[in-house]
Amino acid sequence: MHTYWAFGLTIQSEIEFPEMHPFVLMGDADVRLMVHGASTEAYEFPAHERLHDPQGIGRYVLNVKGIAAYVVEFGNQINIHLYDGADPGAVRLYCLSNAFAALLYQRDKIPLHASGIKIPSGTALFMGDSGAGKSSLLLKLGTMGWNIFTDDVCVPVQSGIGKDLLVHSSYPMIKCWPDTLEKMKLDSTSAHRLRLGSDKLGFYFKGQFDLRPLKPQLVFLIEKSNVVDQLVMRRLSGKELFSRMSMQVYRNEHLDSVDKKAVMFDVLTQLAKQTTAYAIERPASQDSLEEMALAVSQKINV
Amino acid sequence: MERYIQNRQVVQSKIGDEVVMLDMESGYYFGLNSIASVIWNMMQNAVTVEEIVAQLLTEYAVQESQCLAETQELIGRMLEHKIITCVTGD
Repeated sequence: MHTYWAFGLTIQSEIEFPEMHPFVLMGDADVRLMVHGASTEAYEFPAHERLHDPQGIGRYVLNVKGIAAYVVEFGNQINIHLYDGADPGAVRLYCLSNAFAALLYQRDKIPLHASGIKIPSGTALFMGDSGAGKSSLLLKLGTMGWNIFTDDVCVPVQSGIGKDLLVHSSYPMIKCWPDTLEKMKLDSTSAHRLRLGSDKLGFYFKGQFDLRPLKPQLVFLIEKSNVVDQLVMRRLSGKELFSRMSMQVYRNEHLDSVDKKAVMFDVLTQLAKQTTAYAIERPASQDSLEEMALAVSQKINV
Repeated sequence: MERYIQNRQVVQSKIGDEVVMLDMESGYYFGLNSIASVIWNMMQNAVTVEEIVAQLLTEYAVQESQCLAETQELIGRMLEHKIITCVTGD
């Protein structure tokens, strides 16, 4: 049995997950990950299903033909029903993205689509749609000496009534394209291909991984734009900030009840109040990564 | 006399000088700009349009007719989205 720490949770898994942070576990894990199969026949699970029991905990099923069927229940277990010959990388990838997102929502957590670096007083988060440049910015800031906190996803947690909102890192791996590593002259020998049929790589930052939740101090909402021809940064506040942040709730299809929306409302309003936020528009037509990293560093140093 | 009051089903939070809210019945989110947020705050207790306009005229340099028209329009939209309730009587 393998034991890990990811998304602010302790995990006991029947299969190895090199993406997650190894963790010596005393007592029960928050999450049990069990593996079944492997079948050559299609499982009878639906392709995609979300159900709520009367207690509202729910059951989530995702059946990816040729890879695995994932059954997520009670906010504490993920059953993986493997298909014969499934690519292990793809099995883990769907688990880390879809299955864990469903599990977090079952635990009333609202994961955010955000990357982040460690800053002296907590963390600076970078939110934006896929392709906005969050991971590239993270790698760039890493080359400039900043320590990486999380890539792609973070999990907000209340540190107590009336206290700060903190965020947990997901797991110590950045998903990036080979040319991004090349451009930044980063050693790609330790990176691995995420799954068959895709060139995208997993690049580890295990030495920098922090199990402690950190306080978000700054938020940058990044957007690629066809309208601007140079990088534009401006302060965000009020309803625009809330609205822009709400679009970066990870796997927001799970916000399927008013209770979950109320949790999201609390998380985002608190995040908006305790952080200084900026919108960054970067021109889609040109490489503005260096400029963006310098502009972000300046704001952090202020 | 028609008075307007915040719907108690609405959860609200102030971010900067603007208010965002979640209607717990419909599950919809709403955002108010700074002036709308001032009017919204006046509706913690039941108020008339005239009372709102009188208060706004003391705080903002605006023509009374324009203030009245825009306040009525805002109230109409708030009623439409059921984030406020109209109560009648003295």
